[in-house]
Amino acid sequence: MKKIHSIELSFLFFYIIQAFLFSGFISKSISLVSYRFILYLILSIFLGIGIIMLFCYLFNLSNKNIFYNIKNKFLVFILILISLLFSIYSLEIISSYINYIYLKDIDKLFIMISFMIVVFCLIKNDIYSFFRCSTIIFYFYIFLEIITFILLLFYIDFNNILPISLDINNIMDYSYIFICFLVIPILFLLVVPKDIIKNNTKMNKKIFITYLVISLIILIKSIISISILGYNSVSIYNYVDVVIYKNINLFSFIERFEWLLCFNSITNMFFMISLSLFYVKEGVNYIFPIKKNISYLYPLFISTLVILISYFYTISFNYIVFILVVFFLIHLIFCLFRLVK
Amino acid sequence: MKRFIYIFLFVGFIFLFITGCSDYNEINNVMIVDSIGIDKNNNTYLVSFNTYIGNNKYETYDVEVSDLDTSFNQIYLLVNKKIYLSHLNILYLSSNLNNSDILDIINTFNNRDDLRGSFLVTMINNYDKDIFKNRNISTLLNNNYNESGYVYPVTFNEIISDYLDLSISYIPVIDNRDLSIKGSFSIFLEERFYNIEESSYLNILFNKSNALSFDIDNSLVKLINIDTCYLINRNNITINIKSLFVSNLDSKTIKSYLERNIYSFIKSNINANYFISLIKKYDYLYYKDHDIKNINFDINIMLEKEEFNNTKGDDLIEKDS
Repeated sequence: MKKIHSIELSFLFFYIIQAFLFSGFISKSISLVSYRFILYLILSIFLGIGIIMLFCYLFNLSNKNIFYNIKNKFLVFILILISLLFSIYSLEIISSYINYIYLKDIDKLFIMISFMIVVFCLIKNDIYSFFRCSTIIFYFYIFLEIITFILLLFYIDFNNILPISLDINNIMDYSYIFICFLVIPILFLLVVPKDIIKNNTKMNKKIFITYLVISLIILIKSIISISILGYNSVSIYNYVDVVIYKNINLFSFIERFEWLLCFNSITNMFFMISLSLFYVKEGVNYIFPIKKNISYLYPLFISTLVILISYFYTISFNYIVFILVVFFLIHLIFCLFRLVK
Repeated sequence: MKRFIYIFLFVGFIFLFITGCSDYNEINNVMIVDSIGIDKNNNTYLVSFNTYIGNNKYETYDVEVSDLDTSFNQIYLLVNKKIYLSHLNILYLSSNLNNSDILDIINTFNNRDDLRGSFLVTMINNYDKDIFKNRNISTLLNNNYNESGYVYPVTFNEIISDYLDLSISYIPVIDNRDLSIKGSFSIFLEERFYNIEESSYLNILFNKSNALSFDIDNSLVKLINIDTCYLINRNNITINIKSLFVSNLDSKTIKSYLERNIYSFIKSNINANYFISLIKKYDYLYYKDHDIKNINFDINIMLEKEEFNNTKGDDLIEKDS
């Protein structure tokens, strides 16, 4: 049986946790919490450890994926529905993003179709191609991250981070939004069965370390964004990363690179959407098993459905937060149920 | 073979939808705007686009609109070229514009996706289209900032940032007749003209000054490497200004002159939003709990004489004689 290295799972963590950071999350959060943003971010990182513990417990339950652990087809159906709605929301965001940066005159439908064709090619295969794809892209991804970081260092003004409010009144008011978009999507990785990972004995430790490293990266990225633009400017722009990258103008020739540097944001969302749709595909396959030679039918149907609903209907931010909370609660209740049993 | 045909058909089908090439524009069909001038006459905006047409030549196109958003559509109808604002260098605002017009202009430009916010914004007294004949306005502003310090060449991004953080911004003012710098003009919260001296003091107070030239009793004084630091204690702000100076006068005279003038300038009801924002940044707890109405200022100026080494010049003089 083919096995993947545990670090390849970490690469997926990288994409999933950062998927929404610059796709409206940071500007929306700062408009809600203002100068307490850094405090909320640090708090959500700590609260996220609880979700990581939940993930580790559910991941280690058995050698199969979450659907075989839950066994209840109705619950699996609810989870699939949530995952589908989440991917519809994500597709709408990424198509608006691509429309804004690259293809201004193109209708979003064509952007969605082109994007989903690539997603379809990925999800119609097995889980191994998923990891292979994420590993191959990761090296270019990290190279771009380092280049972006070095270029942005010249524009940091730490005075813009002030004031940092340490007011802990009503601190739990908006922290669920931070956790919903940064940490809860990790639960989609429960579609990965444990037995495909090599040396899967010390997975908990590796997952924790991965999570802490990525949380630190998110904190650094958020601080850099605020230090370049300031709180008020970050809160008015939907695509903060594009605005920051447009400022890069070094030595009169290192400029106009936002088209390249935005590739990472698109990669994050690509793997987020692919993972959530892979989750749907595996869930549907669990409920209604299908022969292997026509196994492409489910991804094709799901991709088409997602495109159509994304194009004609917009899911609101508050609704997506609600369904992500429900997604988390289902896993939590199942976990508690297993513990009591 | 069959598989190859299916793949070929599939890729061909995709190409029908990959209409990315429709975003492509020939350079001759694109109007590369170098500078824009906006004036107001009665209730209409007179928008002039100065564009680069190749071979180091520029051409100006004018439109008269009641709504700024339509100016871009009107100019497209006029020249049949797609407007490209990514290379915009400078935006000229006529002194006939009021605060709400300027806010309208800033909003319109901020909503443009193709804009980069690094272009300069300046106000022109006696505005007319002759301003576009001068290609050196941005150089004039930058040189003045580096040598005389009368004005700060503010960019569009900085104006947005000032509007969001301070509700006030200061743009340089140039007279079109003699291309001289007249001072600064405050926009958004107040509409006030600051002459050269006041504008210089503003730049020093806001730590935007690099150098400053002025006269004391017909003796030229030049300050270089000006650095302004603030010590904030609740609503008491100590402004420490450190600089090198070049002058025949002694540091004590220059220092007392500056302290007296800067202090009286502060007391002349300048907008305190910048200083309130400093209190907000560095003493947030005090800012949150108090409604800051009065700020007490204390100014300390530390001057050090810049000594130039003139030995090379003396050698040349001896050789000539």
